Amino acid sequence: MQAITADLTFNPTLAKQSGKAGHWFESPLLRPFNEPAVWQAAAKWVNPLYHPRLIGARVVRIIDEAPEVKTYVLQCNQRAPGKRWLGHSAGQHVAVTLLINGRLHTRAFSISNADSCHGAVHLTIKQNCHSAHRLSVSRWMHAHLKIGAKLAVSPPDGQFVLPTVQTGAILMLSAGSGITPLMAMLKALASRAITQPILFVHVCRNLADLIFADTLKRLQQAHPTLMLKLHFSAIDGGFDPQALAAMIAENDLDASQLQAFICGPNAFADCAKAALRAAHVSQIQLERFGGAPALADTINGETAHEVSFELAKQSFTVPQGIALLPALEALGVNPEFGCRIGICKTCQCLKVSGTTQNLSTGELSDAPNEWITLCVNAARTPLTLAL
Amino acid sequence: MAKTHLNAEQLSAFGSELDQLSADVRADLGASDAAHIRRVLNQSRIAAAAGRGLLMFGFDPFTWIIGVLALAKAKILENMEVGHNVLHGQYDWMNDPNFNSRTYDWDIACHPKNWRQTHNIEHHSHTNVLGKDDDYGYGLLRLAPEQRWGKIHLFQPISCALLMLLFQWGVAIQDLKLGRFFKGKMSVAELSERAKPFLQKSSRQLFKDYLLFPALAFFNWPRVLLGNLAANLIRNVWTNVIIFCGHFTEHAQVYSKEEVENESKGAWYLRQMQGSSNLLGSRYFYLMTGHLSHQIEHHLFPDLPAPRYIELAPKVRAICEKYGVHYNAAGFWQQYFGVIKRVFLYALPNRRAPQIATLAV
Repeated sequence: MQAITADLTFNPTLAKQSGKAGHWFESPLLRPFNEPAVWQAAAKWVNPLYHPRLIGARVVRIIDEAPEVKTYVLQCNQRAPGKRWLGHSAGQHVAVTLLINGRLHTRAFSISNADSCHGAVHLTIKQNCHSAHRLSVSRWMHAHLKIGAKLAVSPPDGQFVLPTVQTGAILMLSAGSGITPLMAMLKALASRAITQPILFVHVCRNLADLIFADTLKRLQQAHPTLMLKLHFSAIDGGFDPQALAAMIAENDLDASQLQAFICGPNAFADCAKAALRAAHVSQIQLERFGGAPALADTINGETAHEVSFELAKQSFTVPQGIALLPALEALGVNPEFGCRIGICKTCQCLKVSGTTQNLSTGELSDAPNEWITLCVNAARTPLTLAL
Repeated sequence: MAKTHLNAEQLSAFGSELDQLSADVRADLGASDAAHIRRVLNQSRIAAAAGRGLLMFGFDPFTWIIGVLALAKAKILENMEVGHNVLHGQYDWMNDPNFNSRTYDWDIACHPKNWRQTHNIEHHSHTNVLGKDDDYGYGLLRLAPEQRWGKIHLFQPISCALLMLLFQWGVAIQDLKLGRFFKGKMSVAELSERAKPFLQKSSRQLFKDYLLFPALAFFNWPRVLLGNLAANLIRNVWTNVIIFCGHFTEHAQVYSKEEVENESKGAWYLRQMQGSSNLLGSRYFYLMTGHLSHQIEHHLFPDLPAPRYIELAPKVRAICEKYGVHYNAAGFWQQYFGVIKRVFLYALPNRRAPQIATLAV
């Protein structure tokens, strides 16, 4: 799954804010002997998987799950002191950093296996076919990531996990590639023998698109309390979340005691959550993802977008036809600036999410964690900036 | 040589042709550009380690000379090809913290914060606009007849030589705007506030080159101290000469504030082109100038990775020919002779009133 914004990209604004008085060995006087980059280069020479913050990993197996879906089995470094893989909780995700054509790209993916304490992490990744104009990391992975390839992963992260004390019935609801973290959870439950009823509802286009079909079938046979409901939208039509209430009642589940886990695209997750709330399910955990929304062909001066400042915890509404710098200044916000024509980079900041367009070149920036200059870039979608 | 003027229609076509050149390169940026900057930084580090090692552990004059040259080369590469270009944001697209314009710090007395202000903002937006671009003569030299003459300019061949030897310090204090302070336009409090980054950065550089490394060499300290001084001098002279060849050559034009009011993107390109000049030479020479040999391309596209200027140059020259704009490129000695000529020529007051000269344009 794509685009859970986990920020592992280097952010100098954050680095400056947390900048306390450094240790003596960080003093610029000792350069180049205390430069991390120098030691990194030396360490990379000894061990090519070395990275200062991230955990080195290598692709050891690639499994074709469905058309456009592959599972990459990564063997993570377990020996490097201080930054080795220590296992994860089912449902968590990792941020993967890849070097693609000179650029570092970071994307978050859910882990689809339950147990990774020996360093084997499964990432089940669907190709993103929607972003047509820019490099899609998932598409690049499908085309170029081969067995033996090296990459770096963050430590596992995320609150979308099973409760430590397991009691009542569970509802798992997913759409498309949203099945990956739920699959990890289901396997984790199965490994300690499922005693409680589990209603597992999955929505996808058709049987060919179903990921993990064999595993699901095997688990269903082994665990009689697992109720599997597959909804193929190509055959059964669009999934109506209102049907969930009926499914809960049909299986004699008590809505108020039910633990619900939802994972899917933004719109799906929101609808499903609302429907479950209406059906009196109170314990709901949500994991959502969303690709860049489709853009209108022309810039419309009327449309306005919300711009959130991540660090200042403020948000503003700006028109999309004007560059961000003048638009923000009109609202009384005064970011640092220099030449105002896009050459000096004084107003440059990290765009955490959203799409912007360079008004002088027409260039779009739609990937998370890219640098933009405020004086020539305008918002095309709601944005989050590291300001 | 007279300035070329284009009408609004020509300017917009001229501008969009240049925009297209930069868009093409931007779309093509990738692994080879990233590999280049990493390689040059590593070369500079190896040269620095070798140079400092030879100065510290050698005994004879021969290793001293080699050590000085290696250290000077390291500083030149680090300042010109890596520092200057990274601080322009040429490698921000790599997403790599080691090559980010907001965090990079270089081996020179000038604080990157001051540099971004005087160079990236003031010099690059207002190139060769008298009164706005402080880099035109550095408030010290009179290099065009349009500049007002003062008695101080009689001594400018000497002040020019001093600026050359102390160039890193001239650049380091540029953002303090001492001229305004001496004219009484700036309070002591404002000056001391402005001086903070300068004092911090320059004291660190002094400590490193003239205290720490000599001290580490124990009894060999005079050798290291003199070696560091010599390497810094070589770097100062080289950067100064190359930079002077970028804007003060015989055919480089100057502009008045009135001329650039409300200028379009095309006119901005045209001014950058006519205010800059290129040096012709070998690939190695280009690298050692940090690709400032291609000052014209650098001023048109300051945020494109500098080695790309080499492939852009013939395309820019073709556009120049199409629009009848003089493309100011020549060998090093020819261009530098033009600079020296200006330094001596304009040390004396104009024989005729400067208005006549400007009107004749």
